[in-house]
Amino acid sequence: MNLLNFAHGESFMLGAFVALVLASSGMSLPVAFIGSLLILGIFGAILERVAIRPLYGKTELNLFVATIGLSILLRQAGLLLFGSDAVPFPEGFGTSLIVQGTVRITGQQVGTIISSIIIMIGLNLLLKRTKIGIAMRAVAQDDSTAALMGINVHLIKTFVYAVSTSVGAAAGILFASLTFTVYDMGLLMGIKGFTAAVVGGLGSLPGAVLGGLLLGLVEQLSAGFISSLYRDAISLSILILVLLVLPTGILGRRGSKWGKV
Amino acid sequence: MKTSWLLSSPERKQFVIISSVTVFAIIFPWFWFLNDYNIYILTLAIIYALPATGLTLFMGYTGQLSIGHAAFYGIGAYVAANLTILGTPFLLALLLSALITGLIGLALGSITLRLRGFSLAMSTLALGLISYQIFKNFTSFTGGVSGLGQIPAPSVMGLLIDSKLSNYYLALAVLFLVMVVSTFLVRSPTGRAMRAIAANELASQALGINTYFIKSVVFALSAAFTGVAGGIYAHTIRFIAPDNFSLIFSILFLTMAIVGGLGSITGGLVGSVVITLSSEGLRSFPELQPIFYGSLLIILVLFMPYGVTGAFNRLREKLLIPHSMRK
Repeated sequence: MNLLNFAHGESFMLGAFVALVLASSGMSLPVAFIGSLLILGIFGAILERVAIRPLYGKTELNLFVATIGLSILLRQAGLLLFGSDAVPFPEGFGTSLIVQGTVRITGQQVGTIISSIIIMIGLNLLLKRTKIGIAMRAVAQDDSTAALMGINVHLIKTFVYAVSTSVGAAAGILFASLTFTVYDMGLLMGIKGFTAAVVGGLGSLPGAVLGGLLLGLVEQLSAGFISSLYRDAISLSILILVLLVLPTGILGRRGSKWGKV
Repeated sequence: MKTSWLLSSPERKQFVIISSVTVFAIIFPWFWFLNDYNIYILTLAIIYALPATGLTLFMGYTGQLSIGHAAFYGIGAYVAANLTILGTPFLLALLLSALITGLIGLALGSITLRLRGFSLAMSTLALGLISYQIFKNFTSFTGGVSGLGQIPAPSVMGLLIDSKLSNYYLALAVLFLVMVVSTFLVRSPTGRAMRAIAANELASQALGINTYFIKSVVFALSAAFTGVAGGIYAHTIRFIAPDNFSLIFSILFLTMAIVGGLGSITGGLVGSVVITLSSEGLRSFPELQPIFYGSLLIILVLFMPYGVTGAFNRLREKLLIPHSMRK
């Protein structure tokens, strides 16, 4: 979409916390999940309307700085609202072991993987098959031509923010259901998400999946073989390295806007 | 019109501004009855003005973005502190820390500055986070999370700098030097090349400017300024820990440079004074400070893209230039 957003990681954290609050107010987990996605979607649309839209057409630096401000603001708001403690997240799929032995896989892990796959397939269908998805891709390619074709570019951009915020929230909830929820998880996850997307190739959904898998593997292996103290430092170095050496990623198209260096 | 480069009039004006600000800052502590704590806060503002000035050069004049300058702040602090603990004279240690930070900045800059836009911003952010993790875990050099204490009080040419006031003057002297160097830089051919890069990088390449080299040098210089600030900070507080160099400081320097307006060398000082004094108002609510910086960034970008100095200049234009002569 060519709209990169520093505050994206925070949708991760907020999504997990909103779901947690909804779940603890007595809703069942699936309802809390969908409720959190809806709330974050609306929230993302409002943020785009208030803080991002006035900056279209100005230099990129302005957009970056505004989203950095937004990110630090949301992160701190998370700290004030939800405290600094890591909160365990209820497990929706159960903790029973599916595979036993030296490798242990819990129902929760399987459920999380299946949910992620469903979300990714859904997102791909949205982008490729629906009218609004095609409009989104048209705007990403060339927004002035898209506008000439009768696409409401502003509305589409707001919608993109809404969708990306709620997908971020979904990822946050799924992540939290495996580990825990803490106010400062957004920043690092945002960067890692970006790293995964870059490794796979920005603008390619299968690439993002591949990049995510690769990054996760490298991170775990380096924690095991090198040092777990420097795990994040290693994945951040991978980001810089890939941006330099392979800016189009593994599955990215050459010549896309972010591929050029 | 062939005037000597050193004495061209905009430059003279800049020197007059810098000197009068410095003279004002020298006599300022005697105007009011300021206690040690007030002077300490002013010292912090002066120290933060160094990275803010560096970022003004890098962001304002050259049009790039760095969200990782806390890395250089930390490197400068740890290098200077370790050197003086080993017995190196303070000024030499400060000089060496500036040099080392500048070289590290040059090395890191020559890697990351091949990138542009969001990728550059992301890699500088990554640099900041990586170095924070190193500060925390490289215990033999940084003391780890428990910090590095027993940093000796600095002494300059036999004068022991151990009072709050002498620390203030030390920081001020360094800031004056940095602002003079920066003024020379932006008025030099390199400075014009920097502004050309900010305006249009492709066009400046076409005109034969080695944009990558200039960007790396400016990045290294701003890193060195930030490193010196770290060195002075370490010797003012005389205890440093990784949390003094976390992400929020990168954001803080960024906010200061943007509040200052990115358009003039004195902007960094203006921004750091405004931010330091106003976040002093939030002293009893430290958890609100990031919210303050964040909202300030958004509000400034939306409503005051030229910062405080820019708003001041526009006001002055409105008051001084007759309506008929305005653009």
